[in-house]
Amino acid sequence: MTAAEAAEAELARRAADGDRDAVAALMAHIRPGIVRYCRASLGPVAGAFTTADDVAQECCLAILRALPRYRDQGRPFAAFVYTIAARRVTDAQRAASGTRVAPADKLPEPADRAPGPEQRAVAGDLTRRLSRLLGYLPPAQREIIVLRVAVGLPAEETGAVLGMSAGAVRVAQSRALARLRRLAPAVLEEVRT
Amino acid sequence: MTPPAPEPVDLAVVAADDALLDALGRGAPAPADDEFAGLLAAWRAELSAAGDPDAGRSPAPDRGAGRSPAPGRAAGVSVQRPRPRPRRRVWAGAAAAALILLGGGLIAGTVTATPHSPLWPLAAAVDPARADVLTADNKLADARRAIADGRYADAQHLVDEAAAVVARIRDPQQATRLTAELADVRRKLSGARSGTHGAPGPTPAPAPQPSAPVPSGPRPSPSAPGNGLPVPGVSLPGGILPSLPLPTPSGGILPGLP
Repeated sequence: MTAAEAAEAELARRAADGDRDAVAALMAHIRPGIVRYCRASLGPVAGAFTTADDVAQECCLAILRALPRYRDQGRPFAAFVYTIAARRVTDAQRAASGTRVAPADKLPEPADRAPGPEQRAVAGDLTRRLSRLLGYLPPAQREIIVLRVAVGLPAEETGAVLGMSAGAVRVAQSRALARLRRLAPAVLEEVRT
Repeated sequence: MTPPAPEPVDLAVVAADDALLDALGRGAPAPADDEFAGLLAAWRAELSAAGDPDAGRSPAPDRGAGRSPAPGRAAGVSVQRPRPRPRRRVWAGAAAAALILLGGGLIAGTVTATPHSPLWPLAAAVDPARADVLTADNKLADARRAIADGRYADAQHLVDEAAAVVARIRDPQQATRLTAELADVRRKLSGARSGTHGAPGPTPAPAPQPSAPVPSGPRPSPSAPGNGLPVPGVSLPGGILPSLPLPTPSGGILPGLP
């Protein structure tokens, strides 16, 4: 365990024991990573990260409520945090996708596939392009890239979140990168045009 | 039928990729000669643009007809905007409504939380700028009360604390307002003290308050070296929370919330 992980675990232990200062400090410490995780996982909706940020807020509340049950058992605190966050993100995806299968009274109009002015204006948006590109990865590899790049977890903590060894994470992330590098030119060009 | 053999692993490539992802995860710039790494670095920077309502604007054109991208989180809830596509617009509205119903009640609690609210720790973490303004307001109000009660040392302590908080407020309007209020309270305190010929208050004057560091830029990742993780026993940057009546994180912190 690194010094940073040990300090985080100690802070989490104090927070779990009811130390108010530790609770506040811990939430301030973990929130930015949770926001990036939700933004990377959910992507922008209607042109903004508002929905992802709302889900990030729910994640923080869920962690706050679960904190008294946290016990340091040698696993990084990140595993506790991002296991909860992953559940919330999945719930949000289900809530969103559940609405998509609502029956319609009549057949929808055929979609106009030509990009509109606003879409052309934001055609270079990175998150949209990356979302499309990451969608070509197997779920585990996609989650690894999100946790490693967007959140900034090291391989060891990423492995703890996903139930993998750090070595397995490193091999999987390397394969994911190789695949993304192969696919990037075609996928990004396709999204761009 | 046997599954295809996995590709051989090049340990040098694995190590280089690991180092690259470590660096990108810390928010470091990508190597200049690696275009794809640059894309990942820019993506991470965009995700970090906290508080920017325009960050990540990306209504994606629906180009997926006839071929569905792999289902997953990254593309899972990308609901598009503007084009006149009725069904998609209905989905977007319904999805937003479902999410609002799911978490709106809880989120509203943090948006309206004040320093005496149960959700204050989370609210302060969510919006530190707003927390600073509310904290400064509270301390100045407490200082006025202390002056009225003749507790000049307490008032001086509160004024010093308020000054430290006001110093890190970025909103020019709020900073101007609070600076003026701070000056007014200082004047009143000075006048009250001179009116009593400098008689000391009932409590001893505290030691000078060290000015809190002003955090700048996005917070580093939890695991990055030197990431500013609060050391046990040390309060939040700015020191605005420890003295407040924060709740314990026990099950009773969110009574009655969905």
